[in-house]
Amino acid sequence: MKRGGRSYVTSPPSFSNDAKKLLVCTGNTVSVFSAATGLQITSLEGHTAPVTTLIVVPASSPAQKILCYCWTASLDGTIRHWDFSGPELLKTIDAQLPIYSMVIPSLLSEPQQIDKRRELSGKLVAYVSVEDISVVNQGSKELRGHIRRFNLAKSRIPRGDTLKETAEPESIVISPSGEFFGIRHKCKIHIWDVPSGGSRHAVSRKMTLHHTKVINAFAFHPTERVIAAGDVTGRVLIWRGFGNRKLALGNQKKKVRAMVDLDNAGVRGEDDAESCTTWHWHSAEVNVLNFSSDGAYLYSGGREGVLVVWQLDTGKKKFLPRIGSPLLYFMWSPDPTLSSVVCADNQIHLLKMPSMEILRTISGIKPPPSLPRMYEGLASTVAFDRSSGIAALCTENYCVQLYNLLNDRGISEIQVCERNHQPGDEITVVVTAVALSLDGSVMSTTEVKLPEDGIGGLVSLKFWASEPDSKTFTLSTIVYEPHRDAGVSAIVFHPTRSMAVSTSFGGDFKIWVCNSDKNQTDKDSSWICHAVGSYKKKPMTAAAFSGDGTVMAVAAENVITLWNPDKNILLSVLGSTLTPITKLCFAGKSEFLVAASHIPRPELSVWNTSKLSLSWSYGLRIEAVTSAVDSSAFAVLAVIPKTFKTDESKENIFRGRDGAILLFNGSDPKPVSIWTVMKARGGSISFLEGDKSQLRLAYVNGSHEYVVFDPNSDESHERSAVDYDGLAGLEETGDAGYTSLYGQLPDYDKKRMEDVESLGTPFVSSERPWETIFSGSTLNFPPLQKLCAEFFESLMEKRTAVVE
Amino acid sequence: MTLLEAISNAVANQDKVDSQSDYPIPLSHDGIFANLKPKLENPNLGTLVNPISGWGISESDVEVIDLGKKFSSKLKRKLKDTNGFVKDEFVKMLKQFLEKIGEKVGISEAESEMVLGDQAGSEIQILVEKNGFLMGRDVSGLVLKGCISLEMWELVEILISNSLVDHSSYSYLVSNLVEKQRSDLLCVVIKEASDLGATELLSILKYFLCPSKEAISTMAKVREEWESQAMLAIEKVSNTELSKKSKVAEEASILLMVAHDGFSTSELCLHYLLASRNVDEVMFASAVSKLNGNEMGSFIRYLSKWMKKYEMFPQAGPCPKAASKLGLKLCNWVPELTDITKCLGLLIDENFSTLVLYSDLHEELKSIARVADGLASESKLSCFVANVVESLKLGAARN
Repeated sequence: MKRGGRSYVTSPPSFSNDAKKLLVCTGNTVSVFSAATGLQITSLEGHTAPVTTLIVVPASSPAQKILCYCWTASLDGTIRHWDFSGPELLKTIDAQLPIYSMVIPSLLSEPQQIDKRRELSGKLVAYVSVEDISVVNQGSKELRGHIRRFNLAKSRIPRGDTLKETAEPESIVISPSGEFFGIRHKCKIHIWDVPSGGSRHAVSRKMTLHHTKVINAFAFHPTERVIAAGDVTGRVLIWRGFGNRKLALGNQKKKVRAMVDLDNAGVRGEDDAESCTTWHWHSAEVNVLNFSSDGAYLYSGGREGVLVVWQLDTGKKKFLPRIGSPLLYFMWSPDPTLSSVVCADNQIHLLKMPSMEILRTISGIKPPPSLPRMYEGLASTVAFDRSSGIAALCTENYCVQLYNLLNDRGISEIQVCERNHQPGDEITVVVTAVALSLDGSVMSTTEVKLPEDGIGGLVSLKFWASEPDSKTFTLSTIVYEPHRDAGVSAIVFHPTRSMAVSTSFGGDFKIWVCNSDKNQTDKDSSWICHAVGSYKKKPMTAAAFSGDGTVMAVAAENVITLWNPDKNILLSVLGSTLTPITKLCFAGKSEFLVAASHIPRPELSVWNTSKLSLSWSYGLRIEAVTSAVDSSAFAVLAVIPKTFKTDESKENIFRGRDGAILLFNGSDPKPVSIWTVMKARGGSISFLEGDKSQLRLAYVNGSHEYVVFDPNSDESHERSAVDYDGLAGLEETGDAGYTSLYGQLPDYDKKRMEDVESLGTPFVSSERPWETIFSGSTLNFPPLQKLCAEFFESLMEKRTAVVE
Repeated sequence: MTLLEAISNAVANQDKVDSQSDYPIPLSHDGIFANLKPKLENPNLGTLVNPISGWGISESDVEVIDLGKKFSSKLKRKLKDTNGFVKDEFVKMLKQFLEKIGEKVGISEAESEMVLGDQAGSEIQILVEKNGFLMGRDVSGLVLKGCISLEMWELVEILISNSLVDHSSYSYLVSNLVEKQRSDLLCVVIKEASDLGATELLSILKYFLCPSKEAISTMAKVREEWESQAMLAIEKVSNTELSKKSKVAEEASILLMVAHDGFSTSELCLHYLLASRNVDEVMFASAVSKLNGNEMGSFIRYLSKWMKKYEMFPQAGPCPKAASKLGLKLCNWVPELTDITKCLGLLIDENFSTLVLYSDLHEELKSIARVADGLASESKLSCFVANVVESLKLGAARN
């Protein structure tokens, strides 16, 4: 089974030494991307828990830039050493505790010092942030976050020296020079210096800087003793000359004593710093903070999604606005013209410096949107193009992302409602539904603009047409208030024709058809309303077309009605369930109809429409229903009842899993296959049938991670969805042959069309100026004498021979 | 053949087809998850999807379904034998069946001796209330047919009140109740059914608007219910211990008096139809359009009485608290003035051309018009007074 959709942004990525590769932590593995193409090249697999730290061993000389070694640390308690060009695992060290952060200062020191250190001590020291699990098991409120020192030369690390304990594990930040490292802890920054020399038992000295607000991020200057920090209110603080007393070098001790009595500007209390400057531009918390490699600039970013460049000496600012999502990380590459910024919407942008132009983007699956409470469980925010394996996912910022599930790549993104990203907590526009036609050529979305103080709410229904070449959608129709002021509950497309039905909580449904069907031309792709239907003014909650498209089922709250969609005639009332129906689906081309209802009594029921009776039903809460096109099989995503989560005898099956996928054949209530799943709430499933020979099932969970598997096999081994073989040729993409030299040839058909159109231009006679006199500007009237002469000549049938 | 044709054929043959579902009751998931186990020896806990096996329908569900099928086939054979099937045998069969399915699901039932006569009926009613939801739609439909053919009306009422009558059975039920003139049960149907069609509404309207002499006698039970509730309201007003609730009781007594006095027994039954929230406006209009002259006249006279009542007693209004606080449930079934006017509008809209031809109804319609004019002018004057009061309030607040 193929697994994809992992988060790219949980930990900071790293560039390779030649700046041609970007290493990204993706869950339990490290993915290696090409900086030139943005595509994944390879991956480092072996960790059994999320990777939290990625350290590329820097090159000590220009000749060593081709080296591809890195260290990784993970929550599985191991530290691993890799050659990522192979890729090959070189060494595994068992630290026995989950590792949340790790730094190796000696890798950043000067080359000669490395040689001396290795000769003298023969060890590689790492400082790690771990979680002491033994404290957790005791159930007390003791401090679980530990900063410890490990010797990486040994394959099994003992307990190690503990430098500090905190309530939670904190990330360790190291200076680019390798001299200092530190952690932030609430309103403080704790800084240690890295011991030098060959002493085995050298102790790191420590100092603390204080602030009045919680600090979110901080960074060290590459060469000077300068620290920058960002807090939750958006301020940026610059401490200069830190550690001259407590972390002084040996030969400077006497000189520093004379400065104790000085009053340091901006420094709080008795902190060991010469001065502290505060800059404030960001409106919300600062998450990203980093110095440039030459130390002249400071980069900051935060929740408003803007990257700010500060000139360190003057405080002048430059901006990269409208990135579209909160920023998480910013890092330089060894190439001074290349850097990357990581955003919270699972995107990594590669920037060209110093202009800060976005060269390309590595698009992961974006996280699901946060919906208001009234829309939880009602919105259908994932749709599938089952022929090509593309999923349309609603994301934050009123967007729909098209994602290829078969090779784990973002294709394009559509902003349903054009607005800039704003960091405010209040949600003003909600995309409540997205639907795709069976062949993926049409997409439909509904959005609700929430009213402010009861004024200004608006519901919009939009139809989007697919561009055949670029796999993106363009807007073809907007319908404002399709059901007056009522919300849209479902949108369903006809399986074979350009027809769709939208149902509303206001008690009616509407059938929409595409104009291209009526006008027999491909140009006009707008949609119009074909019919309106209702059943006793009950709220319409779900709809489905049969496999052959001749019957439409609409759920009027808890009553299932069958309609002829062409003539809009009510065929029959099938029956009723005990609670309102939330999902309807025909089982392929069979006569079985699947209905799911939620609150207050969840039920999954299957109806036989050719007998107009109930076939069977379960008391299960169903999150999603899907059916194969050419058989009577269907699959449901069920939420496991809470009573069994606490049953310890079944802990092995249901640990960490809140749902199950059940595969049924139409008339049999016993499922053919069953799988337990993670994060079923908010999840979605669909059959994918690109090739008729391979029927696959796709499961997208509540966090937009997904897996694609064969429902007829028992294989559970997960492998990455990335298709490595097809990527080698893509790097050579470019025009070739005639096109690269002379450009595209002109299109002959278009030329002929233009000629025909030009011939159709109406011919205006220049002998009768009064016929066109009013088609121009009123300031350009010809003189009356000229006009009269022309007019009378036309009436009197002027003799041409006389003039000649 | 497309699904559209299959469904059209099924709709045309719906009365003939006696289809029985293989799984009529909702299958329980209580026993299913307990039997699941992993399909692989060492499942990887980190994978998104893990295959499992062991899903099976719980034994109790299978046994309940089997019992239902046996009972259903047995009851079908008995119902065809119109002479030999008697009430005692039916009660015995039903009692055995309900006790068995109750045991399967775990509903404990104290074993008791078979009691003949009236007590047997009350015992079977308790069993239907407790275990009726396990019968399934098919079995409850058959039981309903049996109760109707054997005229066990108390059991029919329990089936209706506990929502055990399926949507498709209401047409059969209403036609039989009209035929056998069970007025009290028709009122229960109006109260409980959420999806009555136009045909059923028309039958009920015709039955109540022009009842036969035999039907009037069975409506006495309905009148007794209204009388007892009105007397209860009067008692609660007189009771000094309920001083806090006396205002609600006073309103309730006025409302019930308005609804009871001056209306015939059959017109009391019409109260339920007008006050029901489940009756759809479109369906009601369709039913009203098929009334004949006599029925239309009765309906107009009934609505005219209501208009005069509300003109005479303007203080009578909806009293929703009386049902919950004082137990006067019929206060929820008194039509409001909006119900009356809406119904009158539907009647005139649908039958205007017919009403012109019935000259004996013109006087009644003119009197309704006079009452409506009076109410309209009174409301206009009341609006002026209300505006003045509102302005005075604002002025006082400003000072």
